[in-house]
Amino acid sequence: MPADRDIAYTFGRKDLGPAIAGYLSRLHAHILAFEQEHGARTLYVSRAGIRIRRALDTFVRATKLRAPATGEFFWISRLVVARGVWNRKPEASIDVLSKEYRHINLPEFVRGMFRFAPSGSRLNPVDPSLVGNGADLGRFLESGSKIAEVVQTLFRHQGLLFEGYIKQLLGSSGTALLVDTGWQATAQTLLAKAFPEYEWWGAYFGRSGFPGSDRSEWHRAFGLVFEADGFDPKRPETSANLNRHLIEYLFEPKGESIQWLAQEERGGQIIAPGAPGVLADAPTRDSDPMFVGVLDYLAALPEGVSLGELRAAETAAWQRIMRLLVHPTKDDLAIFAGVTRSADFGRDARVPLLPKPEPRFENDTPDRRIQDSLWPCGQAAVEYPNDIARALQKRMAGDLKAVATTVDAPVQVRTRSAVAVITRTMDRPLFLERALMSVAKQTFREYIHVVVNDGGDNDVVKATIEKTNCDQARVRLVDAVKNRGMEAASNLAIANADSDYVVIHDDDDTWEPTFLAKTVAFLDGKQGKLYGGAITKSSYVSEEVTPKGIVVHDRAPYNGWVENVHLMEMAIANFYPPIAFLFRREVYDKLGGFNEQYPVLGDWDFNLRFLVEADIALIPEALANYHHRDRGDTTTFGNSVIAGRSKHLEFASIVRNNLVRSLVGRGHAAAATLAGVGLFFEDQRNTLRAADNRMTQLGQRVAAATSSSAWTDHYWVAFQQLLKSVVENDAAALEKIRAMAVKSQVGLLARVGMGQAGPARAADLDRAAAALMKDQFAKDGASLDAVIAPPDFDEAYYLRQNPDVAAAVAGGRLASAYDHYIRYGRREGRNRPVKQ
Amino acid sequence: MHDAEDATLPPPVVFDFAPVARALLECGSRPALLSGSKGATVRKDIEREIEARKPRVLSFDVFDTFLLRNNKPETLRYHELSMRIRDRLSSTDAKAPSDIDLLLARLNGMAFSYRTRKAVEGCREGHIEQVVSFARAALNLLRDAEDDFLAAELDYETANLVVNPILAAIATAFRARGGKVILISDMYLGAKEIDTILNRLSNGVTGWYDKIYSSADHIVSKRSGKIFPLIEKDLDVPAKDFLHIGDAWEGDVVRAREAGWNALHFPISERELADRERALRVFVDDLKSRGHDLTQWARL
Repeated sequence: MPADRDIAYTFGRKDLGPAIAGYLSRLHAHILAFEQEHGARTLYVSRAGIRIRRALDTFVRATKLRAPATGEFFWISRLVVARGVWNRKPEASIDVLSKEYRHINLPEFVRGMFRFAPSGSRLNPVDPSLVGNGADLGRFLESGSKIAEVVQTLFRHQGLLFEGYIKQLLGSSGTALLVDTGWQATAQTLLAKAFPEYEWWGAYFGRSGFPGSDRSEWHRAFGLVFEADGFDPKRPETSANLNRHLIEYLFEPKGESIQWLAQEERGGQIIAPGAPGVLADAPTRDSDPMFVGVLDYLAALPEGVSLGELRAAETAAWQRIMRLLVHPTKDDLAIFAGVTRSADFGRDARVPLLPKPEPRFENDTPDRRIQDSLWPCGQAAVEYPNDIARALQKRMAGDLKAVATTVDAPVQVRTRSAVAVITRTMDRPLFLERALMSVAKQTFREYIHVVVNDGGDNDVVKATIEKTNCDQARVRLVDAVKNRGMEAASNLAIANADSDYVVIHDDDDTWEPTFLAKTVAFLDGKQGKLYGGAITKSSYVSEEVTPKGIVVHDRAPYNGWVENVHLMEMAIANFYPPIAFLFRREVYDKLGGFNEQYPVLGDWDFNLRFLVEADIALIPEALANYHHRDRGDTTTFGNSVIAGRSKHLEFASIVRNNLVRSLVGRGHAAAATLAGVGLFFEDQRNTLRAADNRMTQLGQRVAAATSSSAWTDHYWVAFQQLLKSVVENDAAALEKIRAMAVKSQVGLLARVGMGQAGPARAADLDRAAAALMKDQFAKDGASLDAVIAPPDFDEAYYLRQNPDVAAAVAGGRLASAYDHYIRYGRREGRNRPVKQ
Repeated sequence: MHDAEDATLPPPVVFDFAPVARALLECGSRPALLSGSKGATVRKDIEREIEARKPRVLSFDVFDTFLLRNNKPETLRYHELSMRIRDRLSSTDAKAPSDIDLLLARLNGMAFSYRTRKAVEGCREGHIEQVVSFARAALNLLRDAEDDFLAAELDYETANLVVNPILAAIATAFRARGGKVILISDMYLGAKEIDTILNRLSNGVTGWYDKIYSSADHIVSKRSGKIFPLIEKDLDVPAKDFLHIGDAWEGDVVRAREAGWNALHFPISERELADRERALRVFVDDLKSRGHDLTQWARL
């Protein structure tokens, strides 16, 4: 036996075995519970279900657990289900098929639907309705073309058989538990939508998805080993997300994917003609060393092995598997030697798990192969020496790492509140109520919210606090009795509540619910010790006060360019709002608080002095909302920035001058210089920004003037479609093209009879011109379902510049470089090369 | 940067709100506070609230409000319960599962029950009977074992809870004046099990309440807000005539107020919560050192 197979067997027995045993113990418990509590029938979904059941049987036999009472094979694939739901939920069927074929042209889709047909029939479709890719599937199927009707007939027939098959398995109603590897529960979701008379549950190895995944049935889909979209090193089992093919390959039996259902002539039973091929799967140590290794581990489990023992072995095994999946070395790759994965959904291909480190097309690169790989961390080990690969693997695993959902800060033993939230208010109950709720909705609850009434009607403030559904026990009202000014009010409020941290929450601003949780956890944590405070990114909220209440009109990143907090940057101008800044009280105390001399810009002064003493971290999430009444009446409800611009200008110089004088006086000459020259930089930056704006406007004008090539492409494609329509005499397509042509005078179209009014009938067209074009098509060797490149388009250059396109064209998935450019490239902003 | 105190400015005035919740949040131990002299103040503040709101129905959350827990986090309590079940089973079965086996089976059973019971109005809740059934089957035990599981559950809860003396006295007085008292719990224990625990804790002479509502029975819960209209309908009492007291900010206060009920927060103190969190971390780290990573199950 070759050495690689021994390595794969050992990996299966020593590492995967305990991991699979843990999974099977939970699968077993869930099957029993579903049978007992829900009267469910267990359906092992082909093809993985065949091996999962074999493994489960081995596990149950060895441990002498009670065998489940039910269990049948469910001979389906995602394609069978997608077609099978056609009669009941065609839109769900189209949705799944469109996603699977989104990068594949429609002729290939049609070929896929008939590939592996039991009759052996093959289609080579040529039809004008077959323009586009999977995204155009709905239009194609509704086009009424002959080929669309053929496909629909197939779907209707397979749909009828599928419905009969479900009844054959489950009767007219009931509960089914699908057992499969996972991941998005696509088949289960389709079944639940199309067959609501049954209750569909899923017991999967893992459950994970992508941003666009349909998660509507996930509450009924159990991921027995993990339920996570990415990889979290704290949960080693989620490393399976870095290479799901490991689990899919392990449980993939021999035999083709199930693509068809049929009805037996005798007896009328509905069968899957491909089933016997799959059932013939007979793994041996020679043919399937990894799976046989797992089976041998399971068979050797002692009778009555405990859940605790299984769990401990499983936990240890996942640590080893995680190491392998994240940081494989060249030696480790022997485990996966020769592993290939098959494409489903009617596609006929096998893809190696780890392609050889050789160019697949001109200008192919190792990085490109790693990006395209089914297992990027593994491909990195193929392409590079171990030490280089390790750095790449670490980065790739980090990129895939799921966003941590829990805060892992140490438990804090505090002798006072964690945070004092300070809100200054004066006669604005509408805003105050919103601010109280903004604080009340924080997920972090160790705060005291000090509201300081700066000379307004205290009864109104008190009543607002009492009637608002906020946590009143955490609210303290400080009535300043007389107006003292913003900064004095802040100092007064801060003096009236002890805390580790302080944050100013103006009465007209708001937070996202996790603002305090994230900023406090950061500053409490190890990394946070370096900083005196932390800001989050902020959003600028444009709003208006109307008789019906506050109306938010728009929201956009506020100074979205901020990536860190430099003293130099602050010396130029303030660039974050108070609502975004949580700071340590000890720094505040050292600074002596806010400068009460300033009617405006007190926050800028404070931030400048703060940065002289301590650093400020940035948490790159927009968790603070900086509200502005910049619409409607900006005087009555305007905030100080909008309503008091002239005062800001006046005090900008006073703040800067005071700071310079104070820093010089305290011996901070360098900082004083910095604060002084900030003015110069502010002026330079304003000049540069104005120039940049002018350049952008100029660029837009140039782009508008040079967009003629886009129009040329537009009409070039229209022209070809027109000619195809002429050839096919397709009146519907002609009508669409006529609608395009009226947008502009185009002689090209006029030449074949398409003026502004368009042709009344197909017969009006210049058939001679059409015949000429058809001849040209034939000379160029082009098929009618591809778009020919215009004479000025540089095909070769485009392929050289875009290796992914070159690969797709070489693989037959796209007809040409221009085909790619016109369908995707121009929208993706790729350059349109012009022949010199 | 502070100005020297301006003699012309009047001194500021400070107001605090919600005295009951504030006293509880700031205390070191609720049982100690409630049985001491400050307990009398808390009682007076609650009675003042009752007097002001004049409810027809007084409603209490059960666990961590009407019944006070010690400072053990949930996962640690499950482990201690598992040890109790192990001891019970070991007396008749030499091959009884270990405490870890029982804990793992229970945790999986909790997740199974919560996710598979039929949702009502979009709400989900587990039930102890289903949890026990799952755990028993997963451990390959005979059906009789389910009785042991349930009995141990009730024994453990009884041993680890104490009646809140202030709220019990308020409930008794309220009923004596002709008012109605109900208990509402978001919990996997049904009204039947909660009633058993309360009876044991009062030696069978409670007289504290008229009815218990548990999300384990109704599926809808306080945290979803959907149990409140159900209770109003059941008792034929309008929302404004209820006063609910509970420790959970969202479920017992925010959702109750949104439903139109009067609500009073009876929070766990910040120090107690910190104690629970520390105990949880110690417990999880201890199990991890023994090869069992329960991080995903760690709950306060």
